[in-house]
Amino acid sequence: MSWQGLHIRLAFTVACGALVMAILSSLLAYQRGYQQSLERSERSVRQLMATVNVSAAIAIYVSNIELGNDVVRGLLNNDIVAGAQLRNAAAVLTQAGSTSTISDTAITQELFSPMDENEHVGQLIVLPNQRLIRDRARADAIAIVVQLVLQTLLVAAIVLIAVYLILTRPLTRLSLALHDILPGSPQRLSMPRGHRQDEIGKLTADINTLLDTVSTMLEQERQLRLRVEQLEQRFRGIFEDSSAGIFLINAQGQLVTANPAFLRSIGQSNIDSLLSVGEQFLDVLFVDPTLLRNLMKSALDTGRPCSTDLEFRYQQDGHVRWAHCLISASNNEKLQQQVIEGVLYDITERRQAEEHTRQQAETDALTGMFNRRYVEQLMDQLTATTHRGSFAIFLCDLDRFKQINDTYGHDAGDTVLRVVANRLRLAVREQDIVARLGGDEFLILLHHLNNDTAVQRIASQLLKSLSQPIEIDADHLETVGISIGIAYFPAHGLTVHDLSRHADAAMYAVKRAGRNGFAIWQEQEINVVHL
Amino acid sequence: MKRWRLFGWLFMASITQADLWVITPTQNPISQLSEKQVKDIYLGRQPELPNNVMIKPLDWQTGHKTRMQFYRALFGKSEAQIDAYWARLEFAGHVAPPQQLESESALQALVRQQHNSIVYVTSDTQLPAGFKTVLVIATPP
Repeated sequence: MSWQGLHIRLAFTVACGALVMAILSSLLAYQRGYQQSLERSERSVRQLMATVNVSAAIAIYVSNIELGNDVVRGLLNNDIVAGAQLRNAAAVLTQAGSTSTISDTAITQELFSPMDENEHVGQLIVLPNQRLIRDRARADAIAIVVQLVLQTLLVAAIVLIAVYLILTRPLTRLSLALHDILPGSPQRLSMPRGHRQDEIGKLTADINTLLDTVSTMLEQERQLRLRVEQLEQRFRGIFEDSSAGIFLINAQGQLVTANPAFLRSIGQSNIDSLLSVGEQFLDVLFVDPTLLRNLMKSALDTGRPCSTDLEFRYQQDGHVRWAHCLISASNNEKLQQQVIEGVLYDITERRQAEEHTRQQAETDALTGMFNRRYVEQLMDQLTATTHRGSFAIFLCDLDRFKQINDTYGHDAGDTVLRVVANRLRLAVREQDIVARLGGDEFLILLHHLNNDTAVQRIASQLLKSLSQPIEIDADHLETVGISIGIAYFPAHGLTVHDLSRHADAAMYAVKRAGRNGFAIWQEQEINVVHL
Repeated sequence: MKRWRLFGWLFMASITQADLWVITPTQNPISQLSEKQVKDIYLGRQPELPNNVMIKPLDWQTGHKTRMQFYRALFGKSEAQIDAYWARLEFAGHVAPPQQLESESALQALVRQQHNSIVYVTSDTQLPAGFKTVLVIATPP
């Protein structure tokens, strides 16, 4: 039991109260007892004096010393009398005991003639034994005080015992029993005997009810936690085992977490090095981090997932690879901040396949130049509006190609086509397009070119470069000519069809004029130029 | 009527008692005493008199009619009360009460020897020879 225990505190309080009560009542009782005892003593003295009054009066009346002595000695026989004196107006008749100091405590009784009550004859003066009276009064008072204190202490003790038995002990037992009960355990408090109907009984019942409630709630909580744990495990499993790379970054671009698939995708064995770079994470991983930041921003702004393809650095060897990235913003309450979920797929192979397919679709397999489909599409785009600028098309047809093909075979023909394609390519600017339309037909598209002077210069260069002999094999050199028909957009036609038609017409004009030359389309007579 | 008259006579008789004389031998230089002085003397207290004369009181025997009358008249006390007073003084104070006389003849004999003694008699008797009155005590009605 500690010093803060209920019973000790109660005992202390009751004891203090009893003590204060005892002290206060003792003081009062002492005062009263003392005073009463004093008064009683004085009364006794007065009664004694009254008893000897007649004798004293006679003695003083007749001035009889012997009778006077008899009286004062008789008084002195009483222990409460310290001294006595009989005197008349003139002198002391007789005295006994300590009368040296007749103080103010002395009691004086007037004496009258025994036969005449009106004749004053003297005084009987008695000095009470003040010390004895005081001692006795003190003893009486102390006896009263002791009795009072004992009574008070007895009552306090009874109160204490009663409180201990009826209140404190059951409460202490209850408290200890409750202390030993673990919340959620099936243990319950037993009803203290004889307290079923009182407050302690009610308290016990209420505590048990509370324990029941706590148990139920704890059980529910446990079930819920179990379910959450299972769910979390499942989700963690999904996260860990997912083949898609999943990562979480905060709004500052700092990596929060990532799953193994993500690390595999980016060629990183350990997540710690990614975490340590902090906000530099995006810069370290992506070739164009701004692209991803913009994506994050729009995901945050719209609240919808956004995705894009972008290049990242494969961490193991630093090679750049392609990824498809799906970004969605989520408000994670646990992390107290905006978190962005990212899903990353490596699409490098697909991307390469696509690139390959696209190239295949746009180029001519033999010469590596663009094919007809591509150049027709390009012209469709360029002619859709006039504000993209002007351009010129050169429609070219080889002379003598059929002869070489027939003479040396298809392989020789292919060689001729490849050489011609290269010479055409080298003769025009980087941004210009050279395409093989099929057979020995080529088309060159020259951007922002619409004046005759520049066109004639380029066409002359083409003719000149093609006039050089072509090596068919180690023993044979051959020379091919070329016929070029030229048309301008938009000056010579607003549609691809018109342009093609006019260029074709110009080219046939060249052929009719003896081949190996060029002609710019005109409404009337087409003027053919030979080298 | 007769009965009432008889009662009234008796009453009158009781209240019309004779006065008391306090007397002393003629040789006593004191010729007059006050009532107070007589009282003191009979209670055993000597009053201060000229020439320091000491007065010796004489009393009648207990139960004497005049004695009863005397104490009644002088102190308003009964014989028993007076006897009690003297008993106290006698016992503790070793003082003797006034000498008691059996008869008037004894009075004569005694008084001749002691000229300073006083005694009391009723006024209806003859004043004894050789005595003089020092105080007349009126009997209360």
